[in-house]
Amino acid sequence: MVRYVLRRLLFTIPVLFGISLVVFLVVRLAPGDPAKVMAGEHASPEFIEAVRVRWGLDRPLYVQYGIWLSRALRGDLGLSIATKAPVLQEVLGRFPATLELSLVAMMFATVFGMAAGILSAVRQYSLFDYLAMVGALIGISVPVFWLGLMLMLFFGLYLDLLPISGRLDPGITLRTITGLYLLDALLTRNGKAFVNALAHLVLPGVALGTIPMALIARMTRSAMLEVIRQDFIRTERAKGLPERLVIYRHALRNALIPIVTVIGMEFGLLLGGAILTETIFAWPGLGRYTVDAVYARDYPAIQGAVLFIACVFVIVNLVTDILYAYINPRIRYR
Amino acid sequence: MRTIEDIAETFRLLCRNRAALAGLVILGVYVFVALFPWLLAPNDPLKRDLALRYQPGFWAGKEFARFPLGTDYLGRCVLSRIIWGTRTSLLVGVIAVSISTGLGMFLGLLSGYFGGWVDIALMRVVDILFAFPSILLAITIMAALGPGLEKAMIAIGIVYTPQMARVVRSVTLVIREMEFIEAERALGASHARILLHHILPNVLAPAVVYATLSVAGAILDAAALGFLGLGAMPPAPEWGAMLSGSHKALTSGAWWAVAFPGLAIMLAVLGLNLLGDGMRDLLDPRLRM
Repeated sequence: MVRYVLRRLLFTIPVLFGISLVVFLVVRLAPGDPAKVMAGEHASPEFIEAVRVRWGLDRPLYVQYGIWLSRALRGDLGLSIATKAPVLQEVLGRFPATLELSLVAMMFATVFGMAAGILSAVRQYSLFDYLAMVGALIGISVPVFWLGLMLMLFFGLYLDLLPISGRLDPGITLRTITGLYLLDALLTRNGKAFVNALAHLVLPGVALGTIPMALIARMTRSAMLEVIRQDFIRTERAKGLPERLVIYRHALRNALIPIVTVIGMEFGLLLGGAILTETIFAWPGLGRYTVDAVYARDYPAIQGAVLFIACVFVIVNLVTDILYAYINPRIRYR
Repeated sequence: MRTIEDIAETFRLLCRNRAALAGLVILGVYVFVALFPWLLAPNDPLKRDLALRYQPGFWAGKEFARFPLGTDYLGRCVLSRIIWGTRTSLLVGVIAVSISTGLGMFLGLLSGYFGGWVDIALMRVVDILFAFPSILLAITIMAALGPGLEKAMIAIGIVYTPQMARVVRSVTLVIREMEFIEAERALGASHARILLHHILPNVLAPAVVYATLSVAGAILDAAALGFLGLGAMPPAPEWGAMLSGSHKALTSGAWWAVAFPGLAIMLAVLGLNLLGDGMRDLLDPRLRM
């Protein structure tokens, strides 16, 4: 197992370098003088020159990459054109919002997706199975931003049940410790803020979680169906074991391996979906930051945010692979 | 090579699968709309009339029949814009996937057939592109290229290339080891001949299945870019771009300007997913989930 983890970690290093190269090249592919691109269109000539010298933009491309990479490794991603603040600081400040939204969406997707998948498999070809699978098919076909808008329209504006933007109402105060508002509210025993933060999470969380929920439901159903047909399940039933135990103790455990993989993969993809969901619900996370940076042509911010999200994505995939190998020993010896 | 009869047989089997048939019918309707928008659209999709902004549609009574699905924030006919937008969205999906299929098949065939350092180098590039969530990669490429529909096609084409390359590579790896390839080689066939005449035909079926499913994703991603204002440029009618001013429409109570373009996207993607699933079960049971 240790050898597998080490090998998998080693494989990650070239990928991380590749990501940094892609992110570095984004600025070079943008039209115009790179110093001007990095300093902003309205920067003074002196500032543009300072940026040119600082990042070595008058030197060969590979030297520029070297300078940029060594700075990035030390946490220096440059200054945002829009705010003049260090990009790393801004990105780190916004990450907890995205993390909290993704975790809530994933929890929603896992609980409801697995429940629907198990019920569908146990009652194959029933009305529930049929409806759930049609629902799942619609779920993977819906554009996430449109779903967000429709939820906002119905539950936010028409029924006026839930807040449609931001993380907290303006009147609510919360001392932030981790940046995950639900956790912070629990730590500071702030019940009012907890309820308010939770209410703000419902619509974006459901919008973001629907597509993974549909995929998890489909995967759970097919994995369960495969296991239920096997001989050992027939033996369990023949022994007279209650059906509930057969399904939850024996069948589900064996079906978990593909399900966990899908959940891991989906969690990574959520980070992408968060870009659109955050834009709709004015959620102050990394996704919205990225989009705003693209609008403002704030290239240092684009680079920093994309680099950070891609690294998180790689780490999530790495953890998924390791978990997968842990659950399924056969993988380790491939 | 597959003959006409093979294709007809495949088509007949597809029609027997109810879900695939439904997908085929939905897709057929969309293609018809995309080909003949001027026959179907009740109004000029670009004609604006600020006096008629946010008008409701047929549900509000007979006097609103002129704009069956209402009007948007510039008083343009929502139905006509959806109809003309069909052409744009299908075209973006098909062109983007053509790019990814061409590039992906090229990379996958080379990688799988030659192996060795070619394979290692190409697959590392694929791994790196895989390390980005798809919409993030598309946005990043758009940030470099600047907004526009053609650039969105290129960006989405690049985004879908690595997966296609992997699918094609894995099939190529299997075919390469078969005896008939060895026989060809013994007869003195060139690499190009083996690749084009013997491996390519065998790769086509999974590639077509994968391409169909990718068109669904490509249409969704193109709509997302349009929604963010990075894809189609106004005033061109495009489904995603039609949704980009939605907050204003929603707070004005004009739900129709938001609901219908999204429904159009969802149905198109649903049709493609149904068809793709059916084709996968039929042509390549190994890929079945």
